[in-house]
Amino acid sequence: MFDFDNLKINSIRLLLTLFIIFFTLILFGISPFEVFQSIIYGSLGSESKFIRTLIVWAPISLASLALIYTFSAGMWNIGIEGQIIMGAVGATFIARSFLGDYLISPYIQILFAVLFGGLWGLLSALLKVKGNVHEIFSGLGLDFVASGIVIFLIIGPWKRDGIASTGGTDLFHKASWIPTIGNHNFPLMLIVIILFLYLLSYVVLNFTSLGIRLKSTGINVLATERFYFKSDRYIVFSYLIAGSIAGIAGFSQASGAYHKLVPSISGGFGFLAILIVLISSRNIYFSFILSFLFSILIVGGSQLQIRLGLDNTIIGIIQATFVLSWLVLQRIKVENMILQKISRVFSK
Amino acid sequence: MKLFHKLILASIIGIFIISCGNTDDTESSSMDMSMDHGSTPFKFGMILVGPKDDKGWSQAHYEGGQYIEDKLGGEMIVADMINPADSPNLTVDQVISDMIDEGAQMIFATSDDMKDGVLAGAEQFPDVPIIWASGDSAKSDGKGYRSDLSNLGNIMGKMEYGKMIAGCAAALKSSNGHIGFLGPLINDETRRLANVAYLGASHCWQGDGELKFDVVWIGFWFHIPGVTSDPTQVANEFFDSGADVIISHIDTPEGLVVTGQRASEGQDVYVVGYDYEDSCATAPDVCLGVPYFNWGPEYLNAAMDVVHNEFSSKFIWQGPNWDNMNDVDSSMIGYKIGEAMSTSETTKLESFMDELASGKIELFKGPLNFQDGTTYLSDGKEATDNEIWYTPQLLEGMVGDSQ
Repeated sequence: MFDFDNLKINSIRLLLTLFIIFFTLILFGISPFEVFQSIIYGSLGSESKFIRTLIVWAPISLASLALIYTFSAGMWNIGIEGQIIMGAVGATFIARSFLGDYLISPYIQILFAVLFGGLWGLLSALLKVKGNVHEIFSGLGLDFVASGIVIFLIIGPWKRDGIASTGGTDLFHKASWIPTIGNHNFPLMLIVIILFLYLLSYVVLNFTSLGIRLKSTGINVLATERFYFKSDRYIVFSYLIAGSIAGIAGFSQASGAYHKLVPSISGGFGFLAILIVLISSRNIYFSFILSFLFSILIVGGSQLQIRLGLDNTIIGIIQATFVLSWLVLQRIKVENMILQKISRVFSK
Repeated sequence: MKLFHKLILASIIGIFIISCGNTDDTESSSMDMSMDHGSTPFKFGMILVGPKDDKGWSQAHYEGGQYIEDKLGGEMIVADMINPADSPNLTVDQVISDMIDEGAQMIFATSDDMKDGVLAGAEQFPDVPIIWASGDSAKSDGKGYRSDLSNLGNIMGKMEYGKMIAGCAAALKSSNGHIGFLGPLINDETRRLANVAYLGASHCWQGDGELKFDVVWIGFWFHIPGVTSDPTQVANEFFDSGADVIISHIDTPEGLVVTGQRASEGQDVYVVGYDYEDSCATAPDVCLGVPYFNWGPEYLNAAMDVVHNEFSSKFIWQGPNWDNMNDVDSSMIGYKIGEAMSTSETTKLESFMDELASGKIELFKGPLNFQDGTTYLSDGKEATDNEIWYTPQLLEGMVGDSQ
């Protein structure tokens, strides 16, 4: 069931990539050991820091999962950011309604986040299959529209009393925050949702006809008609599913991370997830793990300034180096050579 | 593959050299840090909403922190650009907790935008003194008073005076009496300071016709692309619509940059800066001056209280030292007169400042009406502190949004 050769290759690639990052940091005159020690301490060093990492991991992993569906159907879902944002809008809508004061609020928020995100995804899909608009253009356009809607809401109908600031809405009532357990607010509900969705998606993508048909749509749209199904329908499905999952990511951002709606509610995690899914070549395990690695980088990196006095942009350099060198290594396939050498040494 | 091996070797050597070098550095710097009082050096955190070198609000706070370092010793831990757009998923209470992890014994959080995070952080760490600049959590008769947070104090300057002078300078220089006020977001503080700029301007306006005072808000303390309006564009629109002086009230110096550009194209336009002592340096030839915050002395007082274990939650709203507004050691609010003011204008402005200082001019005195025509202050009545701090509307005569 589990592809060990693939794991070996990816592990070696990860090591090589880390090596290149080390080298890059040295070029900037920064000690990579200090930086990585600091990143790991900052993200996993205590229970509260670990939970902070989980809160960042939640939207990234969900967005990555969402993208696996659309990429399977051969679609570049650039609109993922907009779907996350609209999910957050849906969640905020409930949190600010009369339901917001009741403990049931987070559960209804999820429904609305799914609804808003799914519909936003559906728009892209309909533009694609009915209007023949390329999904990259419609996605990008819908991203802008979504962030426009959020800013309008924050500075208009949902503004704080007597204040017109793009700083964000009022905090949600505590009942509307994502339910947590323990002293450090472990977001059990989120983790359960993520694990459930990942398991479900693993089954759906690998063992159901929906999964196979999504993939065949992605591999060859023209051939699908010979197998008596309409690729258009599966493109729409992929977007509906992706938008819904991205909507949950937006819910996590609004009710889990900020407890309010802010203009940049998506945190750019949709675009980051595109990179993650590209790096992991749509592999569901690696997306799961890589999105966690990236959230470690983000949470640990945000403390580099406080701990080491380094500029915040260092973390951007690390991320970019990671993605670039990974993609290059993927192309030139150095790992295979290394694996062969290793196995030759051991066989002697 | 040969090349690859060499690369590996080179980077191992490089890593070794650099990590050795760095340990030396940290050792020597921690030696310098040792202080005469107590065994642990005093460390404090400084949370800034914008970049620490923004030539505006954030830099003024940063230099306030450096003032503590100079006078008291100790070490400042800085986190700048702490806002949702620049640091996604990093909240102020998380920064506070990280700084305390790093040994900070007190925290300065320096934006009204940080309210939610500051309150959460103060609840979470009741033993760590926190200063929230420009907030009202310690104002015992205020709307946002939190009696439960005895570790949270507020410091703010009476920028009212600085902005009155700014308004006066703008009106003295304007030839057509059309002034643009480049505003950030809308809240009590910004309405208050826009109003006083207008009061100062209408007091000093001596030209023909009525004074035109336009207020445009960009939506946040500084430009966030895609989120706020672009202050560069707003400044240009002011000039296009006929204004000849801009009063900047945002954290960053776009207003000065645009005015400088317009002037170099031959236009007769001027600007008043804000927040930071040296902001005129961006466009010295067109700068009428700058009302600025000098956070150092009050921040030092608060830090001394912490070091001596005497910190208590106080609401400090400090005015200028009228004997010498620009004294770095005593005046919370300063005003630097810019090079663009002529000698006669400077004389007029200085006499205005003198009259403000002596109390001869009291601008918060009725009759004053709000924009919608309702009475703010009836005839002869002077505003109370709360009426000034919590300003609900712009004043009659100003053009722009109140909410």
